[in-house]
Amino acid sequence: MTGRADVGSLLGAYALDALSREERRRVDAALDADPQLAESVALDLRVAAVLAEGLVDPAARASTVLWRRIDAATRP
Amino acid sequence: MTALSDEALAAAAATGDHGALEEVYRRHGGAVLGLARRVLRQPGLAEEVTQEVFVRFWRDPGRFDPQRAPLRAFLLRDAHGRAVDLLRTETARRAREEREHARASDQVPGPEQEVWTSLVSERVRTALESLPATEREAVVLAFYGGLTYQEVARRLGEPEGTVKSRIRRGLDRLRGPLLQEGVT
Repeated sequence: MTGRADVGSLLGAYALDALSREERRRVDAALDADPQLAESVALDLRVAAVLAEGLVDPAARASTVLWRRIDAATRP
Repeated sequence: MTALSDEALAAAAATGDHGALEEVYRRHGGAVLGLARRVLRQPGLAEEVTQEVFVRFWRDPGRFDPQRAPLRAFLLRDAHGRAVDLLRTETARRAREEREHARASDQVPGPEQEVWTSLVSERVRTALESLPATEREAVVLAFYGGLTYQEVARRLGEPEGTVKSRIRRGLDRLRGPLLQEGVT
């Protein structure tokens, strides 16, 4: 179940975050090991990025309150 | 710092420049939060996802590869994936609670119904509406509904392989209208 054809059939759903966690881990590992496979999913990921951009709520603002939380979590 | 490109900012953040992280947040934090809010529809959880996206970016900068995607696309994809994970966890939790309350109802209204048409940008809506209905349904349920392809298959009463194929064909068809302007 870990062949390239099996992983290949999951790439569309992978790009849309529509895999189970176990399947996603399997695809991530395959992509890390196979640059050609990673290349083949690149266009799907670009499409997904535009779909995501299209869903962004334009009214949302990056608040300073939230930045302070991130700041506190990332300071050494 | 404000004059640097996204790529240069990411490279600076990767070397430990905390000011670069702040500038990345200033530029893209609103979009990350705006996406998480739309997926989760719970402001508190959306902020949690946004925080996690930037903390992960800071702690593991190697995950971002500028050859594969621009920084904003990378951050949005990370936010979508994490928001969907949380949504599934929350959905599972609510389902358990509902069962415990023994309230029989299989009508779970969700963002995947027709609400998406009022939420997405006109460009994306037009592209999705150009798809055959079965492919649009599979893509929308998966990406905007946050369902796995197996859940989509169950929802539609179709074989899982059919749903995977519809998602595949739908993505192929969306390349033309969504990538031709070279936005990402």
